[in-house]
Order: sequence, then C-alpha cells, then structure tokens
Amino acid sequence: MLELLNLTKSYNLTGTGENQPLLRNISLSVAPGETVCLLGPSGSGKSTLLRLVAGLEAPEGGEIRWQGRDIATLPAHKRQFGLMFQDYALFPHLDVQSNVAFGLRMQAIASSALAVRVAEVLALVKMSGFEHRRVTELSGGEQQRVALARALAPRPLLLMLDEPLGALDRALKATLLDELRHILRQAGIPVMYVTHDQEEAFTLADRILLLREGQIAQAGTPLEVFSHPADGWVASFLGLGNVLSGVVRAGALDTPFGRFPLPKTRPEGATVTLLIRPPAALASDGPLAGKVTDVLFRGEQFRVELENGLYFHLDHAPRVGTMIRLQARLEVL
Amino acid sequence: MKLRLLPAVLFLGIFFFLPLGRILALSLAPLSQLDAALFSRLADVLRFTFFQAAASSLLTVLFGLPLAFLFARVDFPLKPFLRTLTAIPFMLPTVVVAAAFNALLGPRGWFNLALMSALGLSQPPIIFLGTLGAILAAHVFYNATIVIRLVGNAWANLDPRLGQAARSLGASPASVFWQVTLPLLRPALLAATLLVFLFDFTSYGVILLLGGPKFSTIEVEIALQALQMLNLPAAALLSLIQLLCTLTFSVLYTRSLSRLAAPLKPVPQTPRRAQTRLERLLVASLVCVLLMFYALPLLALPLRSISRLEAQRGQRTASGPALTLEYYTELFINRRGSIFYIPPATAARNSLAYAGLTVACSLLLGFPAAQALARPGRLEKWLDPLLLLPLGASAVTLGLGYLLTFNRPLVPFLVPGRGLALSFLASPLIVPLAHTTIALPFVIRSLQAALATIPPRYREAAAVLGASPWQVWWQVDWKILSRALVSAGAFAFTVSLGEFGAASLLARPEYPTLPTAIFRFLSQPGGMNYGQALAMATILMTITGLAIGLIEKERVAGEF
Repeated sequence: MLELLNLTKSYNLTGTGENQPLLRNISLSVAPGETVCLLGPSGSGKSTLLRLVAGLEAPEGGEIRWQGRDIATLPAHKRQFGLMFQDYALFPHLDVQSNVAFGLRMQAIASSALAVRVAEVLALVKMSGFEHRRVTELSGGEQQRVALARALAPRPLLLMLDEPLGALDRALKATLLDELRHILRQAGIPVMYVTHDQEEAFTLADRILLLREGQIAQAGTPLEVFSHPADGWVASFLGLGNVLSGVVRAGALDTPFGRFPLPKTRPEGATVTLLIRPPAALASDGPLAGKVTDVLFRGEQFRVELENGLYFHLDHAPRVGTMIRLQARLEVL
Repeated sequence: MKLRLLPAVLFLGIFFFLPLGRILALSLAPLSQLDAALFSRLADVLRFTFFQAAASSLLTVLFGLPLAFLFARVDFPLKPFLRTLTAIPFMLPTVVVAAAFNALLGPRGWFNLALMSALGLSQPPIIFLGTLGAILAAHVFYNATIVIRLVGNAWANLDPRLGQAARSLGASPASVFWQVTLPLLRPALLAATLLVFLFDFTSYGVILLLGGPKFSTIEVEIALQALQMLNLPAAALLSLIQLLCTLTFSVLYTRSLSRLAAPLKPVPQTPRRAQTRLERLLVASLVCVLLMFYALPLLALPLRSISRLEAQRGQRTASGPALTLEYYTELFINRRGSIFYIPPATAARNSLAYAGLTVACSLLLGFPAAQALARPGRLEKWLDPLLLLPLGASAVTLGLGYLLTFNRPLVPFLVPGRGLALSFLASPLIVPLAHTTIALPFVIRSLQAALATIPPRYREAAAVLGASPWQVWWQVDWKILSRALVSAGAFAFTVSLGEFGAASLLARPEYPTLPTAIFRFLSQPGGMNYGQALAMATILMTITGLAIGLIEKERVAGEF
C-alpha cells in the first residue's frame, strides 16, 4: 500500500549554508492493516519521516507511493492520511466535539452523519460524555484520547502516530498502550507508529524499523529483532545485554573488558561484536569469570555487576567481593 | 495611607480630579445655549468621530495584519531595522507626523513641487491636505505598529502544528487560515483593534493639522467650543461624552487583553525564509510598501527642511533647488522687529524647560508613589486604579478642565489681591503641570513594574552575603531602578516635548511650545513660515528620536 523508495531529506543548519542529512535513502513499505513501528533515539529522523509521508514537508529525493501512485507532490490535505501529534495539537478554540468533527467538516459531511461518526469514535476512545468540554480543561490522558479520536474520525487511509504516549506518566502509559492496541486492531487500517520506547514498539508492532541517524539499522518482526539484532548498536539501543567488540586473537576475543571465548570460529585478527545476554547461572566451569562489585535486588532476580563492567541476572545473590564463574549465552553479531 | 503616596495623590487631586469635577459639574448644568443648530453640529461631530475612528481602525488592521505575519513568521533582510521603523511614528508628536506628511504630500511638499516643475503646472496637482484620506493615512501610520506588535506576538507564538494538524485532517491552506489561524488570533486582533480605535477616537493633532477646518472630531470640537465659540458648557458636555466613550473602550480593551493572556501556551517559532519565487516576490513587495510608507515621510521632513525649492520673498526669479540652512538660522531672528513676536528659538527653549520640569516633577512624585504601591496595603490597592485614571482623559479635556478651574485663585485668601499673578492660568507653569498630570500615571506604572521585577530573594541573598540594608538598596534595588528611572524620565520628557492637545489650550501666546509654534507656522502662508515649521519639526523629531532610543535601550519590560 504505502511504499517509500530512497527517501532523502536534509535540514538546513541555521546560519551556515550546510545541510545536515536527516534521512538517507529510506525505503520501506507498509502492508494493509499492518502496524509498523519506527523505533529510534531522538534525532534519528523518525518524526521527519512521518512528516514527509503526511505531506507536511517535501522530500529532497526519492518517492512516496500510495497504491502504486507517486504522491510526493500531493498536498497534505488531499492525502487522507491521519496524523496524531506528539503533544496532540488539539485546537484550543474548539471543544472536544468540534475538534473530533474537524476532519469530517473538511469533507463536507452531512451534519447528521457527522454527529453519528463523532459519537462513534468518542465511544471507541471511551470519551463519550466529554463532547462539550474545553480541550484545555482535559487531563493529559484525556487529551491523548481526543487526539486519537480526531485522527480516526475521518476514516484515514493510513494512520500515523508520533510518540502518542510520550508526554504521559508511566502508569497511564501502560493502560493506554493496551487500549491503543485494541483500538488500532479494531480500526483495521495501516499504522505508522513513531516511538523511542521499545516497550511500546514491541507491544504494538507487526514490524519494527530501527532508525539510526537517518538510516534503517534493522527491520523485522519484534521477535526477529529481539532474537537476532543486526549489530552492536541495535543490541545496545534495545538494551539486550552486554555488547563487547574486540579483535580475534588465538581463537578468543580480545576486548577492553577482557578475553572472551568465541561461540563460533572467526578468522584471526577479525573485528567481532559479541552480545552476552544477562540471564546467567553460576557454574564452576563457566567461561565467564569476575569479581562481584555490586548486587541489586530486582524482584524475581538479582542484578550482579562484575569488576570488568559486565552485568548479569542471577537467581541467587553472590557476596560482594567474591570471585564467581558464570554460564551465559554468547552471541556473535 | 503611606506617606510616600501622599504627594502624588495630592497632586492628582488638584491637577486632575478637581478639573475633572469642574467639567462634570458644568456639563450637568442645564445647557442654556444649546439651540437646534448647535445640537445638529454636535451630532455631526459625534457621528464623524465614530466614523473616522472606525474607518481608521479597519484600515490599520488591514494594513497591519500582513505585516504582523511578515514580522512573526518570515525571516527577511533588515528585519530588526524595519521593526524599529514601524514603531517610531507611535512615539512621535502629532505635529511632527503632520509636518512630515505635509513635507511629502502637501502643496509645498516633494511630490507636488516635483510634479509641478516636471509638468509645468502652476497649481499643486495632488490635493492631500484637508482630505479624509490624509487623516486615515496618518492614523494608519501612527497605529499600525500596535497591530504588528500585538497580533504579531500572538502569531509568532502560535503552535504551527495546529495548522499542520488541520492540514492532515483535510483542511486546505485557506481553510486553515479561516478555521484555525484567525480564530486563534481573534483575542489579539480584538485587543489591537480596540486600542487602535481608542487612539483614533481621541485623535486631535492629526485632525486639526491634516484634516483642516472641514473636519471636527469630539476632541477638536472641545477646543473649538472652548477657545473660539467660548461656549464652555458645550465643551464640557463633549468632554463628558468623550470620557464615557473612552472609559467604555478602555474597559473592553483591558478585558480583551486579559483573555489574550489566558489559554494558549506560547510555542515560539523560528521564522523561516521565503522559499518559492512567489513567496520571495510577496515578501519583497511587502517590504517595499513598508519601507516607502514609513521611510518616505520620515525622510521627507528633514530633507525638505534643508532644501530651498521655490523662490523666496525678494527674489524675482526662482533660483534652482539648493541646500540651505536658512530655515534654521531664521528661527533665531526676529525679522519683524516686533516686541510681540516671539522667535521660534524661544519656543524650543520653553519646550525644553517644560520637559525638564515635567521630568523632575513626575519622577519626584512618581518614585515614592511607585514604592508605596509596590507593597500595597488595602488603601493603596484601592487607590492604585484611581491613580491611573488620567490615562483615560484626553489632553484637550485636561486643558479644558484647567481653563475652568484655574481661571481664579485656587485659595483666594492666600493671595490677598497683591500684584502677584492671580491665577495659575496666567503662569507659564500651567503647561508643565498639565504635562506632569499626563506623564505621572505612566511613570508610576513603569517604576512599579521595575520594582516588581526585583525578586526578594536577591535582597535576601545580598543580606546573607553580608550586605547592610543600605548596601542592599544600593547594590540591588538601585542598580535595577536607575535604569527604570532613566527610561521613565525619558518617557516623561518625550510626552511633554511633543504634547499638543493641552498646550494648544493652555500655552499663552508669549510662552509658545515647539508643537504650538509649529502649528502656528504651518497654518500661516509663505514659504519661509513653512520652512521654519519643518525645521522646528525636524528638531523636535530628532530630540524625540534620541529619547525613544534611550527608552528602548533601558526598557525593562512590558508592551504598551
């Protein structure tokens, strides 16, 4: 349905004439009914990508195709894509009802049909009864629901959400995330969801696209990304475990953290990145060893930090200052 | 009541509330002289006042709105300079603005002289002075900066994502403007329109100098009835009507201003450059219009004051155009050799002396008052708005009040029939007293604002660091207040120097001020009188410009 081919965008540093690349040769596609999460740190270009798709900015190169048709020059208001902004951008001069009805009014829909649809989406986001409230009087969570209703009301062909839960506190986030999953599934439209929070991405996504400095670092289902991170950056951004890189010397890996055995043979002198996931077990013949410097109780398990800087999750707490040997999974990336 | 407040309260009591009371008393007395002819004339005046104010405000908003957008959202060359340029007229004395338009478009102005010599005409082809167009143009020139600043600020802080959200919901750029941008700007637009209307409604100098005798607003009519018709009750009645109107508009304005502050959180935007060719063309043409409208009159005045373009008295044939300083040197010469003739240089000296007195009085009265009001008790809270009331009264109304009040000894038994001046009215002091009354509310307000910006924690920090109370005052309060005092003083100075309405009623012929002298010379025939008027206006503009520069440099906070 939506296809992006080699999209490029740079941004002009004010004052200097220099162009800083924001997006470099981004290609991706979104299938009908699919939820794609763009995950990346701030500054990686995720929001810019959404603005290009929405038509709020023009790409410098590449194509944006919708059902095979290039829409790069189609103005934003003719694309029929919905966009939900980070701090919602609700119209402060309109009440809840008029905010939600805005997109429908732009389509010149009959007022009876309009009222029905507004009631419908407000019910979907559990905001029935708030029709005549001022949006400035709503709480953050309520504003978020109204913004979602406003984006959904005109039945967009594609829904884009830019960090929709970013401004909310943790507890509220968890509840709304769950609801959002149901609402998006019910709407049945393709969704592009931008976030820097991997928990949101893993919960919602059919497919995750990891963005790093304007390029796609990895694309795949949440399971694929989780179990086979493409490189050291992906593994450390997702916080999958200890990421070490070093050089192969005499069949083992030399790193600033010490020498580690290699699970697969690699040629002598090659640079290799190793991922050591934290779940581990004490084992007297384990390949990993170190002096315990800190032990933190983490509910089910203990987080144990070693002198060489690595950390592990153990079922039993060793004493600080003792030497331990461990068995853990080593993966070459 | 705090003792420090007493001088200001007493002063305003005598020099504002007493005259105001006299006007009220007189206007409520039965009008014996109100015949049908006078009644219909006053009705016409009232109608025209509302009409010209409404037309001027509408034009000002239409002119200012694109400029507000330009300054708020677009980055273009010379922006800070052009922003200052649009703000200058607002502070200029009306006589200067009138003289500037006269120098550009008047019968002896640049355009007419150029066209006459180019086309060989004997009469000036452009008739600008004495038309409604001149009044409207001058009002736009004066007040567009209000729209640019108030609406421009709101526009600059408008969250652009609201527009983008609307576009993603299917709104075309035009619908975004009508459905989102304009409704969000409405409070600012309303406030700006009301303020502009208020200024246009009480306009005096512009109507008198550019509109000529054909046009009369309430303000002009008050002066006319008082000075020429000698019908003081009619003048008092008009003053009352005007006072009620301005009071209503002021309340509406304050209300709209308070709504302005409320709902939107500011999201300051970095202005962007014009990108497409069409955008660049639009920006360039707007900048050109702006530059012409503001720079041309302001340049026409000083240039015309040093150019001889027509034959002078005594010269048979016109010598070619030449640069000359004779309009300036002439200011010092009593050509008529008359002892009743006051050379214009004396008017300049009077004006400077009056301005100096106004600065001294308003600071001496205003500083203690501001300190008392900064930490108000119950009485001070109640007095606070009362001290600001003179802002609502026009200068001409004040002048009329003085005419009614000080035409006899204030306390007769204190001056028992000696040769001493029997009344304030005869004294040249009456003008600086009126100017102090006008400037005092501004001075108190701005000093009060400056005092409020000193957080008590600064004083506490200084004290904890070992400063004695005196050192605290010197190191903290004075450092901040001295700037505010300079700014307030410069403001009082500008007000007094350019004030025309009250001075035109109160300044005695033997003690003219610069504005009244400019007015007199402009209304007299002859190239030399014209040139001298322009020379004086140029001097006035320069001094005012310097004072404005000082105010801008020391500005602490606040708009309008």
